[in-house]
Formats: sequence, structure tokens, C-alpha cells
Amino acid sequence: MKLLKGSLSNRAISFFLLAAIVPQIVSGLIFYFSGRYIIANNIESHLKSVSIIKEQELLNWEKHLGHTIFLLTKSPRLIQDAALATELDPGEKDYHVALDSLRSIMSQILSLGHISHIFFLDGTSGQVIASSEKKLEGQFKDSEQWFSQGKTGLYISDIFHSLALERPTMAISAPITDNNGQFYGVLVGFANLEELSEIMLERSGLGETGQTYLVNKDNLLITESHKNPDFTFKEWIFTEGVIRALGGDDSTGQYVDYADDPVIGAYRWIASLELVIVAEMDQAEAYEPIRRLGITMAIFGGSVLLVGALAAYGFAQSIIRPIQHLATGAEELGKGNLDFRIESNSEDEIGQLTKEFNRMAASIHDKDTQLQQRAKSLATANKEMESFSYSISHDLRTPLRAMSGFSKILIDEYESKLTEDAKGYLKKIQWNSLKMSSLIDDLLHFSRIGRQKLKTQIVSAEDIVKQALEELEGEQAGRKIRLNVGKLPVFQADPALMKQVFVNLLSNAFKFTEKKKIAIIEIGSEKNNKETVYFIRDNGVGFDMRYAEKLFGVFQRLHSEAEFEGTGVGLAISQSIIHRHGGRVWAEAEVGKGATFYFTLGGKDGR
Amino acid sequence: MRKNMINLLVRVIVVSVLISMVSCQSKEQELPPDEITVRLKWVHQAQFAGVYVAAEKGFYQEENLKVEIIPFSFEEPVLEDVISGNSLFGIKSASEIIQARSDGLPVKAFAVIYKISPLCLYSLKESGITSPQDFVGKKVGLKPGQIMLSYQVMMEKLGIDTNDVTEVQVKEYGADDLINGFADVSTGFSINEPQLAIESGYDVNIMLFADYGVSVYDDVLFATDDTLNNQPELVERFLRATLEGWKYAIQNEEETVEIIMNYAIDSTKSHQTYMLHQSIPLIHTGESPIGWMERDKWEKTHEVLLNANVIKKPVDFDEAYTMTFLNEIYGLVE
Repeated sequence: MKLLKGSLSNRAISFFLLAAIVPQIVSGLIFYFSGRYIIANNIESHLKSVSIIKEQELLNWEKHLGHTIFLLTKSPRLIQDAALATELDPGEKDYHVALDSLRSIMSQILSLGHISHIFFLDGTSGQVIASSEKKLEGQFKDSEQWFSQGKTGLYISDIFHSLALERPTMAISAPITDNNGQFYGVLVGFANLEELSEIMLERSGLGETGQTYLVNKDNLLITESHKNPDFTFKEWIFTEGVIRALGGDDSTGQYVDYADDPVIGAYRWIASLELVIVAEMDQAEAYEPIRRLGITMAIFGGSVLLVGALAAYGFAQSIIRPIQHLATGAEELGKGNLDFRIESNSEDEIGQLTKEFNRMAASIHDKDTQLQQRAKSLATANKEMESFSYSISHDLRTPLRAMSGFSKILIDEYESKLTEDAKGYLKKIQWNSLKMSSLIDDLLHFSRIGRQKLKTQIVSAEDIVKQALEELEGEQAGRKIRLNVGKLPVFQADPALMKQVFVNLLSNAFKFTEKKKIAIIEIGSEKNNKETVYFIRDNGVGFDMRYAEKLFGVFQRLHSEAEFEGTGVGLAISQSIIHRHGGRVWAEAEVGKGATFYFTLGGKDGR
Repeated sequence: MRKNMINLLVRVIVVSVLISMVSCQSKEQELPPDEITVRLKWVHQAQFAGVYVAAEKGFYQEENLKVEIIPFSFEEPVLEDVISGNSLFGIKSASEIIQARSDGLPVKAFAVIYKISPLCLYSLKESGITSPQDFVGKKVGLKPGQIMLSYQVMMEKLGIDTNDVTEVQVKEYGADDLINGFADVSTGFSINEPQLAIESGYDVNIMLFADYGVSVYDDVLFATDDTLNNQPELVERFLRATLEGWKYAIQNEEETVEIIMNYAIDSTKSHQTYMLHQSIPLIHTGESPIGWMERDKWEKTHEVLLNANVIKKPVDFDEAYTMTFLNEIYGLVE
């Protein structure tokens, strides 16, 4: 992921944003949705309460209407007038008196306001005998439910459209009977549905978009709606709320209303009125507070994130800059600019690191100075060594030459004057001088080897071994030597010096197998792990492993001069050469069984 | 990689949209619309608004119907036309359906349009005649047929001696007889004739026969028993669309008048506006859905016919109508 790689700045910012955004978003969503849920619940229960309260108001209104008509039918005056109106002939005077009396009662009731029309129907024919509306008188209402039902008891009809009123109404009818149970007719009142609408239009506590309305069992909108005042009695509502209520499911919910607005609604079926009451509020209005809060939170959260991201960036930078300085410093040091120091004022971890860096640079600088001085003194020492060796050889040889010269003169010219013993002593003096000379030579050689420059190249070990063997032909002459030269690889080495090594080791092998009838000498190489180990094995006299350490010392000999000649500096020279190549040399032997000399060339074997 | 995915997504969406469009098309083309004819009981006018609206607003089309609307003609009476099978549906009054059944004709109503009959008597306001009781000593203009029938039934119910009233024959259509005093009271359809007087500047008093004891159903949608039994789906579709047409007309009176004018070319907008407006309360009464029928109204209609001797013997009027299709359409909702 790119987030995890990239620069420190980007990573710091990315991680911060991740750590900040995710909880923000999660908590934001949780808050928002739980807020909506809480609001929805609150609104739903509020709307439900409103609908219950309104239902109560409606039932009270209905009850009141019923009571009015019912009580009226119990009024003695009304009963008397009704009796007269039905029993008397229209020709009789008292008939008209009764009618006028009825009409005056009716207009009084009308003045109360709940009822728009009121009339009295003949119990047998259903004809309108007296009415608050003169036009109705004489009409027949016998086919109406409120007549047939009103004959037996208080009856409240469904809401219907009245031609007489030219608007929707509800009929309340009751029988007029006297104390003896004599039935005269039916009193009918047409309700003023405006009051119904008023109850429903009242919308305090419902905000801007809240509304309540009534729908009948055929989905017809009965009362006025705020969203469309023209819809009354002309709109059929098939919203989820109405359908559920008509199905007997009084509840609350969220759905789309008849104006296609998403709303929260409460709906219930009022059985005695056979109407559905609906209370709704637009979801937009309901959720407005949470929406605004959500926006505020989003803005706030966004700015927090922005500030945080900037802070993360700043923090990252405060770390990066010193690190970049350190990187530059390391680069400079690498280039060799040892005077480079990094400025740092801070006491924090980076500051500490910087201080340590500076200390390290100073230390390197000192060491470097020291090294340079040492190199200088070494060079001086080498030079001194050169002149020293030269003068030694020169100065040491001069007396030696004198010694051997004068001994020779004595032997040659004073032979007759010398006794045999004297001649023997003089020969000894000569031999020792020669010996001394060769020792000096070897010493010089050894010291030179140590200071010689290594000129490495890729050479074939086999070739070098061949050259060494050629050089040692003399020593092989007249002897039975079995030579096994195994596979030898190619290595990176100074060919001249390596030849000296092989010459030395082979020469030793030849020397120390002199006493054997058949000298078996093996030259080969083995690979172990990472390095090639070269070996020269012989079946000569071997040596005691206890003295293995001494083997490679200068002038160290483990056998007497009498047994084997040699100055004892050959191995020291070989070791020096091998060490110069970065390798190691060691030997293993068993007295009387032979010796094996191993050496490596320190990983520069040219593989 | 992302580019390829978006590319693929776009292609998939385009292809699926095309497929759904094609399948939609082919679905419609799968079944050709049923071509049917409905016979109106009179000339083209707002009386049949629901049918025109259903045709013009695509309600019939939605039910995969292609409806030809043919008005009344003397040459091809509606009943015969439907019985012969020339037309599938017709509009006639409920009385005429009972009469037909009495005559052994296998027709049946499956919805009522005018729950309150617009048959009426009307007078000029200045005459002061506001109810039949005022007819005594006056000239009442009558037309033969249903009107005469209703008049007789009414007068009997009211207990008014028809001898006390002068009966005159009036023209088939018009308010002239009233205006020129040939009659004091004329008759007609409340949705129609009175408007002519109003147009001429007179106020009128309208007395519906329905208010005076002749409370019957008027226009009903009917078909043969055969159609109702063997093509119920077709009947339901036609009924549903026609009822929707009436609902739309109730909600959009102005627009409906415009639609009617496409058919009632010989009439005026003001006349059709009046007719539509007066019709609606007779059709949409509120206590039951549009088209819904009650048995006692059919009983009453039958009773009137019997009493007036239009039918000699009682008829099984329950066979004159069926609630099956109304139940199908409204039953689900309730």
C-alpha cells in the first residue's frame, strides 16, 4: 500500500487521517442514524398522541350531535308538535300552528351551529313535514338509510354528499315517540362538517408541514387537507398509512403521502365513525434538526481533520529535517569530508542522535588524523627499516667477508704452517661465516617480503605449482618421489610470491621425506564452506603437534641442523606472504607419519 | 485495470437497459389490444364523461383496450346492438334493464353511474312553483316514456289528483315551452334542459323526481349474460378504466369539459360544463364508491315499474344486476 511506504510526511498524514477519519465517520454515522431514529420515534409517538386526541374530539363532536338530536326528540313540545303534524289534516289550522312551532324549534337548534339543516319526517311515508329549509318540505326521504334506521333509534350516517346542502354532510336521526311509545316520525339533522374540518385543520404542535385528515372506508378524503384544499371529497388516498389502517392495522410509520412527500405518519381506524384518521409530518421537517446538526458536525469534523493533517505534517517535518541533515552528514562523511558537523538545538531524541553523530564524526576525524600520523610514522619507519636493513647487510657483511676472506687466506697461504686442528678450526670459521651470510640474506629477504607490494592477478595455481616444481628439479633428482597433483583452481594472487610459497612448502616436503624410500607428496585443494583450502601433504618425518605454534616463527626449527639443513625462515616468509593475501596457514602432522600444510587465501581466491 | 472495469460496467449497463427496453416493447406488442364498442344511450355529452376521459387519458389503453364510443341512434338501438353482439357494452337506465329482463332479454347491469336519477321537473323561478304540490291548476309539460311514468308514480305517492293538473305535451328538448309560457312546468334531465333556460337568462327551480318518491337508479353499464360469464376479465378491465375515467372527471372538471368537446361538437362549452357539474353529485354520493349498487335501490326501481304497470309481472330483479365486478375492483381496496 502506498500509504505505508512513501515519505514520512505522507505516512504521518495518512496515518493521522486514517486514525482520525474512521472514528469520525463511524461516530458521525452512529450519531446521525440514532438521532434520526430518536426523532422518528418521538415524532411518531407525538403524531399518535395527536391522532388519539383528535379522535377523542371527533367522538365528542359526534356524541354531541347525537345528544342534541336525541334530546330534542325527548322534548315534550317537539313530540306534541310532531303528533299534531302527523295526525292532523293540512287543512286544519292547528296543523299549521304545529308546523310553525316545529320550524321555530328547528331554527333555534340551527343557531347553535353544529347542525346545518334539520327536518322532521313522517314516520310512515318518510315525507318531510317540517324543515328548517322550506324547499325540503314535501320531499320524500323514505329511501334513505337515516330514515329507515332512524325509525328505531339514534342513527348516525356515513358522510355523504347532500344535494340539498350542495356539500358533504352527515345525517343524525332519531325517532320521535311519546311516553306511551306512540311513534310519530323521525327527526333528522344534517351536521355541519365545517366543524369536522376545523378539528382536523387545527395543527398546533405539528410544525410547518404537520397535518391531520380523515379518510372514509372507500379511501375518499373527507376533510380539508393543507397540501391541497381542493381535494376534499375529490381525492382518493391510497398511501401506506391509509391502506394499513383500513386493513385494521393502527400504527405509525414512514412512507410517502398523497402529495408524494416522504412523511412520518400515525394512522388509526375510528370504528364508530367508520373513518381513518391520519396525522403526518414531512420527513424533511422532522429530520431538519439532525440534518443541520449533521452538517455542523461535518464542517467541524472536516476542519478538525484539516488542522490535524496540518499538525501531522508539521510534526513529520520537524522529524524529517534533522534526519535529512543526518543523511547529508553521513553522505559527507562517506565522501571524506570529516569536518562536517550538524547543527542541532533540540534536546529530543533526534537532537541526541545529532549530537552523537557529531561526536562520532569528531572521533572519526581524530582517528583519521591518528591513522594518518601512524601511516606517516610507518612510512618513516619503513624507510628507516630499508636503510637499516641495507646498512645491516652492508655493515654486517663487511666483517663477515673479512672473516671468511682472511680464513681463506690462512687456509690457502699458510697451509704448511698450520696444524690439522688449526685447519679444521679455520674451516669451521669459514662455514659459520657462510652460514651467517646466508642467515643475513634470509633475514633481509624476509624483511623485504614483508614490505613488498602485492601485485595480484588471476593465475592458475596449477601453473604456479608447475613452475615451483621446475625450480626444485634439482632436489628431486635421484630420488623416488611420487607426486600427486590434484585439481587446483584458479586464484587471485601475486604469482611471484605464491611461487615462493609453493617452492618453500614443496622444498620442505622434499627435505623432510629424504629419509623415506619412496616420498609420497600430495598437492591439492578442498572446498569447505566458503573457502578453498590448499594443502601439501608429505609422508616424511612429521613433527610434534605440541610445537605447531612455533613452526612459522622466524628462525624456528623443530629439527636440528644436523638432521635437516635450513635456516628456518622459509615458513615465516610463506606465512608472511599468505597473510599479505588475507589468508591463513596452518599445519597438521604426526611424528614419523608425515605432515600436511594447509593454507587459504582469504576469500580472494578468484571464484 | 480500473479503466477496464469501468468500461465493462458501462457496457453492461447499456446492454441491460437496451434489453429491458426491448423486452418492454415486446411485452406490449405481445398482446394486441382488445377492440370493443360501447353504446351510449344518448348523443355525445357530459353525461358520459367517464367514458370519454378513459379513452382520451389512456385508461382504456392501460387495460389493453381499444374502445369505440358510439352514441345513440334510432337505426341501431342500444339494447339490440348489445344483444346481437355488435357492441360489447352499453349504457341504459336501470328501469330499461329490468324491462328488458321482463321481456326475456339476457342483459345485466354491472355498475351504476347515476345513483340518483337526473329526471326532473323544472319551472322558472318567477313562477313560484317549487314543489309538485304547487302543480295544482298549472300546466305541466310531459314527455312520453320514463318521464310520464315517473310523473304518474310521483303524483300518486304525493296523493295529488292528476286531474287537478293540466298536462301538456312538450317538445323533446328545450326550454322554449317554459319561456313562452306554453307550460308552467317542464320536464327533462336536471343535468340538461334547465341549463337552456339559465342560458337564456332565467333562474329555475329544479324538482328531482328522486326527491319526490321516484328514487331509482338511472344510467347503468350493462352487457349480455354471455359476455359477463365468458369474458369476465374483459368486463373488469373495461369497468376499472371507466371508473377511473369518472374519478378523473370529478377531480378535473375543466379538463374533462375540453375532452367532452371533442365528442359533443354540436354543443357549447358552457352547456357541457353545467352538465358535468350537475352530474357529479348524482354519481359521486360519497357513502359508497362510484359505481356501487345497493339492492334496495334495485328493489325500488322494480317496484316503481311494477306499480306503474310497465312490467306486468314481478321480475327477479336480482338477475338484473351483478356485484361481481365491483367486488373485484373495490374488494381489494377495502
